[in-house]
Amino acid sequence: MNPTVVLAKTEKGKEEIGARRYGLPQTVRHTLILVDGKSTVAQLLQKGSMIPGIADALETLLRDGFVRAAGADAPGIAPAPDQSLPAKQALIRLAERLLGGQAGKVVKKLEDSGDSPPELAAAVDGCHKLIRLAIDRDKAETFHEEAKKILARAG
Amino acid sequence: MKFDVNLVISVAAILVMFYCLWLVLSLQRNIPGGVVGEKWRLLTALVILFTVGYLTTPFFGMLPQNLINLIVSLIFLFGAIYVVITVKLIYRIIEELSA
Repeated sequence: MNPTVVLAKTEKGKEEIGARRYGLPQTVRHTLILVDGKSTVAQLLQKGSMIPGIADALETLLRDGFVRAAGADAPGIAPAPDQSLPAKQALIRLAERLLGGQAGKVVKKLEDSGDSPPELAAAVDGCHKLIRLAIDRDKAETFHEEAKKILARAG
Repeated sequence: MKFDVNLVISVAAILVMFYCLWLVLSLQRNIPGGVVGEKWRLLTALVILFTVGYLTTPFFGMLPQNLINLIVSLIFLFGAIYVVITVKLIYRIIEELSA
């Protein structure tokens, strides 16, 4: 994780703070509380030095969509899809990275799909609709855009 | 002991509404957001309201008539709102799936 990047809570992160909706472990929740939209990763690590495993907690928060880079999608925060992976695996990684704990049904849909490009394209369309309907409309569009790039690369 | 058909129907309605409440709350975890998730919270709030309203029905014999009229009117009003939200949501899901 890039130590100069400023992290901010996402809507999901704010929801967790307000309503404890996702049942985060205490250390992860304490780390989330520290994220203020002003401090860099390095500053957060310093501020939360008394929290055991704060670096892992930050990774978890980022991976599960509780925090994000403040402002735009800063480089060095979210790992880019591994270009060496087969398309299907890359799509599964994308779903897990984008949706965190809510990726289960999407991953299952991708796993159940065939490996040919038309089958994967159909699975991506299905996943896009599923995410849009039941998970998050913005993440659905991000998933669709990034999945299209993966499919294009796979030819 | 006199068989009170109204009471039996009220209790049956309450039981069905409790089942509905259990359904909306347990399914909520699977629908954290998106087009359906956004409406689901509203539907959940309405089901809670209906459950409270239905719980008053066995006590209608003890309540003043104007209060009964108010409770029934409110249940009808929010019932109509519930139906509108559900119909629009079904249409929206069909639109999304056919896009």
